Amino acid sequence: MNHLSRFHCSRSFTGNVIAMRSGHEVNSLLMWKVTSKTQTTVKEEEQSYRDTSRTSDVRTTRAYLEPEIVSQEIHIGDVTDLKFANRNSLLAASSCGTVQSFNVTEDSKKLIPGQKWEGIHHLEMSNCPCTCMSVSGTDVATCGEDGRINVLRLDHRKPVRIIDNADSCSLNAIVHSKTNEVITVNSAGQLKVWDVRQDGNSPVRIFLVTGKKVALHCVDRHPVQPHLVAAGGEDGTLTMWDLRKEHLPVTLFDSHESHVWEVKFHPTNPNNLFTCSDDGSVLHWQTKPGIGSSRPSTPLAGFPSSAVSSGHGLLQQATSGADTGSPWISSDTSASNVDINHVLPSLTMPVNCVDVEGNSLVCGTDGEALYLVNDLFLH
Amino acid sequence: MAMQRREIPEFIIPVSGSQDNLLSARWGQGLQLMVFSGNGKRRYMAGEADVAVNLDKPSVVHDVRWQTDMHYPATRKLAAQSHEIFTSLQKHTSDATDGTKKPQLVKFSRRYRVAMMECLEDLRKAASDMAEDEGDQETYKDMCQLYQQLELIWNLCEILYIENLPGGVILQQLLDWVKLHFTDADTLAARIISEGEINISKDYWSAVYIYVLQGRLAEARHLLSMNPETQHDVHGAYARIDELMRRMPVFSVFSRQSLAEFDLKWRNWQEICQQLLVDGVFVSYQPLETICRILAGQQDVLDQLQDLAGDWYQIMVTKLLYTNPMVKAVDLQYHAKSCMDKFRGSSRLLPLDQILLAALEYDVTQIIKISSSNLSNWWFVAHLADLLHHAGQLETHQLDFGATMREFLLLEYASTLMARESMWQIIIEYLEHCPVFGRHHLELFVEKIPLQSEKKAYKVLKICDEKNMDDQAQSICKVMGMRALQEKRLGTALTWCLRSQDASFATYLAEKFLTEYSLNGNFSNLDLIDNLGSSMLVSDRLTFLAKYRDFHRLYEEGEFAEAGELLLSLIEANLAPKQFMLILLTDALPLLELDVVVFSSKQTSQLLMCKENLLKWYQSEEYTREILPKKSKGHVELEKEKMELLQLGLSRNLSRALLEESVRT
Repeated sequence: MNHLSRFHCSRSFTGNVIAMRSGHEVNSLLMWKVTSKTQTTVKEEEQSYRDTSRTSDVRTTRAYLEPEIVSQEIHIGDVTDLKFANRNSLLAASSCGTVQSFNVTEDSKKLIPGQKWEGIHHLEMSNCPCTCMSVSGTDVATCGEDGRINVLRLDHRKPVRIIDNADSCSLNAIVHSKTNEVITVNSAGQLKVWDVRQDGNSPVRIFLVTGKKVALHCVDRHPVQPHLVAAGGEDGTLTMWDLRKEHLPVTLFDSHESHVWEVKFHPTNPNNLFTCSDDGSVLHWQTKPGIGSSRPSTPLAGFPSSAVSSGHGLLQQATSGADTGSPWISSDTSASNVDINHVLPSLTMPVNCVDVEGNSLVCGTDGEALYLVNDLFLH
Repeated sequence: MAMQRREIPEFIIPVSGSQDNLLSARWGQGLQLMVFSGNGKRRYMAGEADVAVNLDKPSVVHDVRWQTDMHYPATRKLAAQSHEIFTSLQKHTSDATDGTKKPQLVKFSRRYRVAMMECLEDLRKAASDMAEDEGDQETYKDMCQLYQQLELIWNLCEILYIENLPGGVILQQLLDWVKLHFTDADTLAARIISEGEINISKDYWSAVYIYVLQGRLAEARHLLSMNPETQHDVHGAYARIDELMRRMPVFSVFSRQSLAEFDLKWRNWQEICQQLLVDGVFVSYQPLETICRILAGQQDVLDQLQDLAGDWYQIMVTKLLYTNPMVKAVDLQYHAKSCMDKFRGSSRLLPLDQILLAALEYDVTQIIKISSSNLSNWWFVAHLADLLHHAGQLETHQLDFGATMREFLLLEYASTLMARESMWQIIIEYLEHCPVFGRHHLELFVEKIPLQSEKKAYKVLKICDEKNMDDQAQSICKVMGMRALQEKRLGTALTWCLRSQDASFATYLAEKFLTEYSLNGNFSNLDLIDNLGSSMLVSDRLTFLAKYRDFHRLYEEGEFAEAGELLLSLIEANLAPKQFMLILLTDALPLLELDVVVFSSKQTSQLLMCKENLLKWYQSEEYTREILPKKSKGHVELEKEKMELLQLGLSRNLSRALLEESVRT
């Protein structure tokens, strides 16, 4: 089956996108070459790999180059996450609880299977999916449905640190906040901060969404202010925490209709944030700059600004967030501070993953399609 | 691919030992059978009893699937795209008014055709891709042919049923139809032109003739003008024929001329053609004379050019163009029949001929029937029937088993997708639009979707929520919960249980947690239990668990008075299982030993009462019969000791409390 459930934009290979097909039958890892037209005078144009785009309005300009597959590797189990560890190695997490590295050749033409950490996520009787990975230097932290955290080191056969029973529930996502500190989210709506150097299996801190249980599916931290963390939940909310402060989120945004599968801060332009959801939409969130420059883009139809609510009035004292200077947790009602735009035309199939690099965004859907958008407007 | 009706396909499955152990099978998802040499019994000669033969080696399970046309990469793309079109079509028609409906339907039809064309393109690529193995290449080639035919039929149906223009004058669209699908002339012309020097060969004239036959006079003129002979055209024959072709009147619905006006012009023009023939203007230019004869509508020339004129339906269009350009759509069937008789003769009609004829006869049911039984492709009939249904062209009569034809086809199409796991979201959408049996199929299908990961379970659950399938949602949560339980992941099991608000399961799990506590003396999964919040209210036992844990926390934090109060209320509320009572009472012991008096005299007597009740239960018949035998002797001794300690502690506390209270008053 070829649900594109996850891919990751290469940080070092401008122009290459790694995509994966996932499903039960034969899965494969595909490497696509995306030829951008930056060398010609034509400014970057919208591209899209998708059959229907011929009839949809994604493709605004006629001159485009179709992305092409340059390499294909068989993968066992669904690919649940893809990350580049460095220029030459790509890591793929599998639903069989395995993490495998692939070496990318110098000419970025081929993927060569490399080291494999087998069965690092497992239950009593069977293996279970590894759900997410996070890379920091040569260390890779992984988490899985078994509630376990593993820290792998490239070139080490065995995990260098295993936290068994780190969580009673499934861990859905993990991200490094510092070199030795990771943040995880679980299916009971908890966000936990761990120091991987500490022994034992208790987190440094636990944060909660609200009283009711809302599974959190994804988490990302602000690239510049690591105490600022965004997480997406099963009810379509995007939550923002200031890890220095409250146990409860500072702001809650309610714009997706269903599960938020992935959240990503723009790596170099963190006033921009991207989310994708089971409702088939990809949203571009951007904090408003001082001057009201607006972008010529589809306004978020059907979401009146009142739908974006601030923290349900939970945290009045969070108003002090203004002095941190980050608009994501600013004191005013967040509705007026954040612009939300649709990146894709309306779709029917769930969007499983999104990644962004420079002005390009790429996302994969259950409709076995990969979308590439090349003209993001960033503040 | 194309299967004849009543022909039963036969597969040979290489199962070892199937002679002795008859072939057995179980249904998989949709059109999928799991075949293996099973525990069948070999039937011996009459009179002897059946003997079961055991397999000497493990049986191999063969995964047999059929009607897998939609499982190839190219067709999967088609399935995904057409699903999107299908969904928006269903949405559209529910809120469209009559005025906007038709142009929209034409758009939808075109989108389907674009998807088909793309699929065809991909199939062509795959067929010539050397990386594919030979068998696959062959399949792709067959599929190419099939999709070409399908597109041809769809286009004709679009013209006749969806686009049907006012006035019923249809020729122009038929010409476009022929032009789009039969591109021999273009290939020839492109080759001739690319050669640079125009070589007046047989191919050259073939290209010109086909252009003229297809009514593409502009192209024909262009090609003619390249003929070097036009340079020294002393008799003006080339100029004449060019003039003729240029002036041929063309009727268009959108022009302002009336039919009568056009008719007059057209007759005039054709009379000129005939006159020129009679005058023998082109006698020394054989090819030009042929062209002129076509223009003049002479029948015998078509016989001569039969090789170029194409199949009967192409000939029909040519004939109509030059003899009856104002033909009405409803009259097409008579022309079709005569052309078919003439050019097909007695040879057997192929399914494609039958379908096109049925289309021209406006027999929609027949189109669908022949297509389904001959083209072995449910995608086509299902989507075409659905589109025609929305255009109001499909009769809504019930089939024998209660559903309409559209529904029957959609169900069939959905079943061909089922064996492919990645299609489950698409299948659900199609099933949902089957008004009679869809719901039932949907319920059965949803329960059978394999759930390999929690993410997938979430996705299926979301669909259950959308479609109000509460029972199925419950069962998914139960499956996931039980799976976690078997793997001893109590925390995960509890989250699944809370999601479905399953009280009995919650009780069961809470008891598991309590047993764990009574065995180890500490709790696992604290991160979850401590943060249950209002979800603890799902079951009494879970509430008890959370509260009991609260008690421990208060005790650890040194809030003894509050801890004592909470403990008492827990004991009194009777939420705990009977066997846990002793543990609760024992938990009171350290509180009784404190320097300060935690329990008042009244509270102490309540505790005493509970203790007595417990003692009574220990002596009850139920206890002695069911529970006592399971306990070890040491355990019973320990319990006895605890009870005595409790008696002592409680009485001492009672006296201290009474004393203190009397002092206070």
